Amino acid sequence: MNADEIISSGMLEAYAMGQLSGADARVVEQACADDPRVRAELDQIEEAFELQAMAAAVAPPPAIKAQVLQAVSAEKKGPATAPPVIPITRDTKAPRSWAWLAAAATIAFVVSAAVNVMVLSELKNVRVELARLENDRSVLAEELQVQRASLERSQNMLAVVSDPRMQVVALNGTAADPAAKARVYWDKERKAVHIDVLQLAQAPAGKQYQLWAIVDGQPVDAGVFDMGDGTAPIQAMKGIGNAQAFAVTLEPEGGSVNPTLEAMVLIGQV
Amino acid sequence: MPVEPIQLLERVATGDEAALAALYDAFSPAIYGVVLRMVEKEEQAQEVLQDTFVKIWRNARSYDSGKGRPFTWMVNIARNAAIDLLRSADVKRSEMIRPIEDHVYRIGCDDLNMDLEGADVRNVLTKLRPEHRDLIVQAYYQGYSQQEIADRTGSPLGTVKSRTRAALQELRTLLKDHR
Repeated sequence: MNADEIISSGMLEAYAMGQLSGADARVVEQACADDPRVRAELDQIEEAFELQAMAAAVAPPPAIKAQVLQAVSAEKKGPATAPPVIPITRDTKAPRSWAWLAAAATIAFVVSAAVNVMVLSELKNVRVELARLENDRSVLAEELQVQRASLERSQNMLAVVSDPRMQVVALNGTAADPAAKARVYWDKERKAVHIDVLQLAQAPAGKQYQLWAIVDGQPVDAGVFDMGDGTAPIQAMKGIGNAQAFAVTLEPEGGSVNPTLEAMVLIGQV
Repeated sequence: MPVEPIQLLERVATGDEAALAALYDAFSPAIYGVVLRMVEKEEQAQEVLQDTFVKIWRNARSYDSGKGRPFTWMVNIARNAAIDLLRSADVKRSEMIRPIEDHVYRIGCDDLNMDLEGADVRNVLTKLRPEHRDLIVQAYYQGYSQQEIADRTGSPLGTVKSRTRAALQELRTLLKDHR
């Protein structure tokens, strides 16, 4: 930076007001030493501030002067100490109060960081908890589904059993399975047939039980049924409008067109 | 002025109390006027003034006439003390959750209109273009650096620098007319 640049830069004004940092202040001081024009410009700027201050002068209370002189003369009598150097530019060191602010800011930051860690950890816990609850929820939803199906079956069963139009036909075991016991619920008018198996041996693999209606001495297919878990206690069968008796035979899987009479396990008269 | 301030400072540096008294008589009103415009209370200004002349006494030998006028050196000691006081007051105030800007705004506006003696220069300052007056108030009376002023006003640093130059030139013109 040459002299003209320094003069027009605003640095001299800033220097006079103590605004410049150490490095910039040295640039100005060097330029003043090197070039009398810079020195003269700075002097005029300083003079402007000085004139302004002189014109705006306020007489301090007289007691201050006495206090200054008293303090000074006390210092003179005291032990001689090497005076610290006060630079013409403002001390760039932050005043103590800023140090407190910095300390407060540091503490605030540390507290904030700690809170963040806590919040993050808490957030992680909450996420784990949320996943657990979501799992619980889906388990409960499945459970509800099962219960609903079960309820529906029970309601259907109840509807069948409690229907006053239903005729109940008791089927008893034959010599093939004397302990067997079942009931047929039959609504003759609506041709609705249901079977409620109370006691019956498990069908061997590859075999299914088949219900027959005996109409005028002839067996009429009323459908096959399964037993055990997952099957309704009372199962709807094929519609039958007329029958004198019902019988159950053990047939190959899928049922037969004609019953295997030797394999009849249940029979009951209407 | 019977004796040049530079010679007075040289004598103060040798421990001449009478020279300090002479400097005080010559410059304490001008310095006090500046400090009064910077701090909140008269007692604070008095404290700063007393502190300033004790520092002048202690540090007179470090004054370098190659670096500036004696008044600049002395008034900047006072301004630094006042600025430190302002900053610590701002910190205390912010601890009480009152915005610093309140205080700055108050200094910037009201203090220039304080009913002090030497109202003529107050008038000189008020005659400055507002952006120049604001700049000198922030730089000289509130002690903000050019960078701080740039940050506070949202102006580019280059603008603050060139405007500082323009503000001082306007002030110099006004003072010349004033004389």
